Amino acid sequence: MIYLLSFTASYGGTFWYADSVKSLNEVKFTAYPFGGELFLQLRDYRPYAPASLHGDTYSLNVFRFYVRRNFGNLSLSIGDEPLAFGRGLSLFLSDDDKALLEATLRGVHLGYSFFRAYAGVKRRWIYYSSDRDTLLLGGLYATPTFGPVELGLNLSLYDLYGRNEGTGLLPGGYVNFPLGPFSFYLEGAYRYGYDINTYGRNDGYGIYGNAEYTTGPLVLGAELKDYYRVFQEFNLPSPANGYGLLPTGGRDEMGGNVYLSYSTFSTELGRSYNHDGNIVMKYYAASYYRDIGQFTVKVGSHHLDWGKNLNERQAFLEVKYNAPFGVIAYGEYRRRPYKEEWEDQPYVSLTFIYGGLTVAISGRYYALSRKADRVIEFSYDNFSFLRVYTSYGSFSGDVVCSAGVCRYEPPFTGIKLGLNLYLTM
Amino acid sequence: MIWLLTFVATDIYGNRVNVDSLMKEKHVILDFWATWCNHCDEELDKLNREFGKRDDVIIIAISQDSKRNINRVRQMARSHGWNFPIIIDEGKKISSRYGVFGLPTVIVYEKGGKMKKKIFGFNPRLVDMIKRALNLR
Repeated sequence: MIYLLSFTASYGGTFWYADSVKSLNEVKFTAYPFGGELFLQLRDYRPYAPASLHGDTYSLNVFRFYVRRNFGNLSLSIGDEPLAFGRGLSLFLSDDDKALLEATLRGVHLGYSFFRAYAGVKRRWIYYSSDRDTLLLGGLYATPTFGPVELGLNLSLYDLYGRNEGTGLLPGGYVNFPLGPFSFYLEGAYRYGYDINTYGRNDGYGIYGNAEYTTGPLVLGAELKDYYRVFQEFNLPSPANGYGLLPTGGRDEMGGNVYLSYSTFSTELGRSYNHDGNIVMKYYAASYYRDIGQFTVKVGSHHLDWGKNLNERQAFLEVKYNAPFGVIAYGEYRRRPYKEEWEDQPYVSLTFIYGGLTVAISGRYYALSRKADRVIEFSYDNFSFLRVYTSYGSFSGDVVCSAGVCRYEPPFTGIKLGLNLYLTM
Repeated sequence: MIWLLTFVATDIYGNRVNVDSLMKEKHVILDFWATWCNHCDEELDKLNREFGKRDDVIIIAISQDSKRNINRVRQMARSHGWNFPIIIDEGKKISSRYGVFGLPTVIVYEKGGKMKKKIFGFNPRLVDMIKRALNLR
């Protein structure tokens, strides 16, 4: 009988793509008793912004847990598990670090061969106080394969109460198959829904298609989508939204994108509209990198308009010097709306890496508001179980690429300490 | 001390990957990454160039992208020529077990399953560190 214990702990305000997080500390614990697996994650969360805007403060609590065991070909899990069927039209409950959403299903999960049955309640650990809906969900899906052809069928039954109330059935299916250098994927879902507030039906549908052509390092693809009220309450960003934005709701959206990549170059162009023909989102993105001797040079740009939620123009240049010691010079030019004008917001960072030691300085200037962020950070990694880091300065909160890592840094002024420990016994 | 954190998963091409079996046969390099991580594609290219063709080493790339974006992951893998197993870590269950705090993170296991190195973030000496840890030429 093997009994193993692993313990991970992290402390500090740094977290990837978290919105306005003042501090987020957590402990993860995994044990393997009696042929099974037990996982426990405790989290303590303090938002930076007022609770009315960005959710409540959560003192130390059980954020995620599960107990899992296999009995021959049957797998049983009790606790919080993600559910992803196909590309997510009829069923997708998972997490998203960019928006700090935790939407796994807390309940019972049974698996046998390519079948999966589930029943439980969707987690609502979300950083927006308006999310007060409770979703009960149960269902069954199957994902058999027939040679290169993948099929999927899902049937979910849900009951939603809270701000939005309703009940319904959500069947869905997909097929995925290659054809020479092409590959095709098609998924559909239909919602037979009943809205308790209006005592009427609130049916919806979703159709998604993806076609790709691949030859050597060239990949050319297209995605098309047409969604109407199919998953607004219990789903995360819709597919065919390559930019990975926050949920568009899936209430009313159609459009698509085309993409191309060749080795280290990639580009993408997308549009989406509502069914009245009004544009909802448009974006363009491209990036490329190349090794030149001891240097690595990377360039990229994107242009995004997403209603009134997010408008951005950005271009970046990164030069890495790869030597016994490393140097990363990163420069970024960005324009964002500021009081009905476009504000230039250039950003630079310089990182020195030697062994486990890293020193980074970075700064961003806001041309119209005449503010400046300036941060210096130090870190030490023993390449085993320990990483400590400290940073000093002032920062208004944003996505940054410094010290070798790209992440969202929450706003702070002063000094910040962090410690990541990973211990296994 | 033996580190026995292993798992069985299906990669993005539908192949079953048994990390426990692989660790008994070869040196294993676990690379935690995502399509949205700025340094991750370069790092995987470096690893692929140095270790991708070796018989005694296997790279397993664990993506923190979601299954709903699997075509993005496949797109990147094909255009960069990555032929090693790539696993989608839905809900970051595998990442949590290995104590992955950020991306990219590389964990190196010698044949037999003993962890030799854990490298967080971009590091210009990544390949040299792995070679020294595994006593490779």
